Amino acid sequence: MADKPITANFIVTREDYADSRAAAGKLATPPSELMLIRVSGAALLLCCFLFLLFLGSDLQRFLLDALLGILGLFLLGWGRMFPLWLRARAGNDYDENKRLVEACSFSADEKGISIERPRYRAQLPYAMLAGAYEDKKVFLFSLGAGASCFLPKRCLSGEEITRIRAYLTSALQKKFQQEGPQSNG
Amino acid sequence: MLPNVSETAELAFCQTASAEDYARAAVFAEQELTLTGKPFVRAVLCAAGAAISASTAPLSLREYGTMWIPLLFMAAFAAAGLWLFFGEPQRRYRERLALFATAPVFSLGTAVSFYRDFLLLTNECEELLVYWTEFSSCLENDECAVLSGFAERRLVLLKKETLSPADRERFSAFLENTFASSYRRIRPKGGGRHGG
Repeated sequence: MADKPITANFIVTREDYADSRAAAGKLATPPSELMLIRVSGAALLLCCFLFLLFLGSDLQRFLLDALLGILGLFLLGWGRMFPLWLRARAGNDYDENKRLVEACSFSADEKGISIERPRYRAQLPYAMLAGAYEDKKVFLFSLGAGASCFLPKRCLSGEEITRIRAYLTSALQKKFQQEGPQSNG
Repeated sequence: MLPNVSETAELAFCQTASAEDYARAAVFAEQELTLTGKPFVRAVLCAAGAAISASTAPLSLREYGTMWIPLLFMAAFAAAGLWLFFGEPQRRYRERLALFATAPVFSLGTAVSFYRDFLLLTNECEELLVYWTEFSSCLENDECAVLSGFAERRLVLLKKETLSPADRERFSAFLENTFASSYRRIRPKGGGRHGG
């Protein structure tokens, strides 16, 4: 016998919207790109130390070297700063655009997901999803080409989170990405 | 049917978008929405950069005894200009083709209905209602109209191929009237434009 569908009803809060935009940004950034940015940052930082050791120490050179170091640190921390920047921008969008304050009904079972909002209704089999992403706050379901919908974990019990994760893992396999170790709830 | 859709549609038609349709429309919108999105403008900016670099060569020779640096900059600007004019539009088109390939929902047959205040898109999986005011611009050419600025979809493509000549006229007149100064009709090469 099939499991009872998981259902959730929620209103999109500012936090939810910011979480979803941050998750969408992380899903759209390939890990290889993030790694390349980190390696570039580490290389710049290394150059900064080497120049400090081997080149002269007049003020102009020191300032240029410091700039190199700051740029290296910036690139090293980009992976952490990028979601913060996305969240801040999403928060502003939410404040300026009250259309985003919407009630949403969501349900998921082994066949797919369904979403109902005042001006959007969808019944999407998993095969119609371009991918999915899970982080500590949300499940994000990507439809591809920049379109996505999301489900905040605050609306789900631990058991429901585990079930959705199992559905996505089985249906989407490599197209389902998770951020770090996940906790239920 | 979404709860607040009760009036009769002013225009209704069906469409199925292919990857090529989507890629062409996306590149068309990206090139037409901003001045610097056009390959010609980008190439001209690079040519200006190359010319300025070349013009500093005599100064560099007099002050530093070498022309290598300005000539290097000139070559870099020239190469960037050639790439932006010939290579980049092709790369962008291929990228949009790949993007469409990852979005199975967009290739479904869709019923498009124009209402006075909103657009309704319905396919076998989704029903989406968007008020016209949620779009920031409308670009139209002989093949399609591209609506952009809606937060949840990067662009909405409305194809004209299934419309009769009379419906094409109604389609264009409706969009022109609805979007007012945010509407632009791009004529094929040699034609003029109207709208804002």
